[in-house]
Amino acid sequence: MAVIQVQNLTKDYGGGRGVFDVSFEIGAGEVFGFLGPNGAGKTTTIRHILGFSKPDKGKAYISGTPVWGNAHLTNRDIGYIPGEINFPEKLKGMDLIKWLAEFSGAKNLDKAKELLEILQLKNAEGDVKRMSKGMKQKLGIICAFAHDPKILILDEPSSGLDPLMQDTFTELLKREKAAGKTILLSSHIFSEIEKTCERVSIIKQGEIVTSFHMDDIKRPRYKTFKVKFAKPGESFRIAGEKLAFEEVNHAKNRVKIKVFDKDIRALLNLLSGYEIEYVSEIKLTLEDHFMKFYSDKPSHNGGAA
Amino acid sequence: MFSNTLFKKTLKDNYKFWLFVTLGLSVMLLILMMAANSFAGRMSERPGGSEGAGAFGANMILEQFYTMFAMLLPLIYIVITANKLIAAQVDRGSLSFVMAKPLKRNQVSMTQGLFLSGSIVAMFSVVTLVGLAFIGATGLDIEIGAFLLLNLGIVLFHLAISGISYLASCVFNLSSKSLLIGAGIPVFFFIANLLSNFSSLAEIMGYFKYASLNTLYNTADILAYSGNMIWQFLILFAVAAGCYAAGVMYFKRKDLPL
Repeated sequence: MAVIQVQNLTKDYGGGRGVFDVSFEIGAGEVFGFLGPNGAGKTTTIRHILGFSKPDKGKAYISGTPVWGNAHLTNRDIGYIPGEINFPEKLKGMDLIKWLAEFSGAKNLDKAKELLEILQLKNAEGDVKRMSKGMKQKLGIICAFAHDPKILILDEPSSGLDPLMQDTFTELLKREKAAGKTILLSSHIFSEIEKTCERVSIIKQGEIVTSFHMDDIKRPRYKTFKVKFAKPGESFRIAGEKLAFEEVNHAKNRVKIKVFDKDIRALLNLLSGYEIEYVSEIKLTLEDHFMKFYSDKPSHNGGAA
Repeated sequence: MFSNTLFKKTLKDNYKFWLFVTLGLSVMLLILMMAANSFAGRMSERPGGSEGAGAFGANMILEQFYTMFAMLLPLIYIVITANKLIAAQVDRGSLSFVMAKPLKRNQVSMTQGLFLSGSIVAMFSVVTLVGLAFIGATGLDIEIGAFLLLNLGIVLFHLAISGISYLASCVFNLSSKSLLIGAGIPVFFFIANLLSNFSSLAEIMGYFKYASLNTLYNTADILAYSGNMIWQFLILFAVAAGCYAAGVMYFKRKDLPL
């Protein structure tokens, strides 16, 4: 059974805002990336998983239990980092960690103490109000992880962290993943998702536009090569070959060829008959994939919001 | 239907303001009672001074206290605290940390509601005890029964007022709206009640008494042990219970923009 399941979730805030027929499942021990720009509906979806919002249509489930009306049960194993962190007032960092852990019945704060070390959050004894953005983010991370929950719902967890600390956080996520945690990671940061997630869904204007396995991005069964010819006119000659061209640029005397791994030898044989200036591989990154969906496709909703 | 952990924090966040208002009320009552005591003393020293003069002065001072200070000071505490307990935390977004925990909605709303109503009861329990202690120590000519009823009535009145502020805090997601309604209505009641006193100037002013809950806390009726007091108290209690229950029910079903 899926640990987190979102089924045909619709929440219409009007004016094209909201989420529309969003569905996905996250299995036990899986790390799922939720990618999309601001206002795409990531946080709205998460609100339903935590039981803050009532769906117009569809449902969110945690381990088979519908969330709405049962958040006191479904939130039991959840650790949550809100997209925008506003801590309760008048608390010192360590008191906040203790207080929030108490709701989950956690007495042991070893994990929190360890995380204070890892994230280098000094003076957690200080007043939360006076903390910088980065410190608050670190504290938010610790609060979510402190009671050692089985499920982590992380809404842009590393925003406000410096690049080094982002790497530290990525390592932390890998550790949690190795410990068998189920993680929903909503993020803008491609490298973070690339390094940790097994599956990714891209959400745009409230709809999931594509879902894929990270392996297909990292290790696709085909590769794309850019070939620049040394001898003029070669681009015309190769255009006659039976190849999957992504681009043929005669002006620059250059082509981009998509080739399946099993056909690579044939391509090399073919290219040996040409005078070549250089060959380079164009690596497909998550970012390219993301941009493809964001720039190419016109929106369904006429670009509201 | 209650969360100890949440209550601890709520208590910590709000006890100072409560203490300030409670002490303020107690001190004011003491000062007024001391004044009544010295007035009664002078009256009895006067040759031919009537027996009832001391009691009359004491009652006037009690009416003054319970229609002004005991009305207004707790009102400020109530509207600010009621907003802080829920709406302000939704507005700020800080409630997300609590709502992401395995708590029922009712647990959150009822814990906060119990704090608000309980703090009002506690506030006037302190005031009542201070008053009783003074009466006991000085023998001030105040009927204990009437004094207790005045306090019971003001508690019921403030429970009704706090019910309105609490309901507004449960319903609205913005502090501004919660305060507009949760403070606006009680303040309107207070002003309407003041205006209704001017019925001798224009008849229409008299109708304002129907637009105010304050009219239901009638110190003259209470001091005279009038039977009106019973239905007045019952209505205040019903308003309080209705508003708190409506707040809890609304909060259970609402969308939280956290």
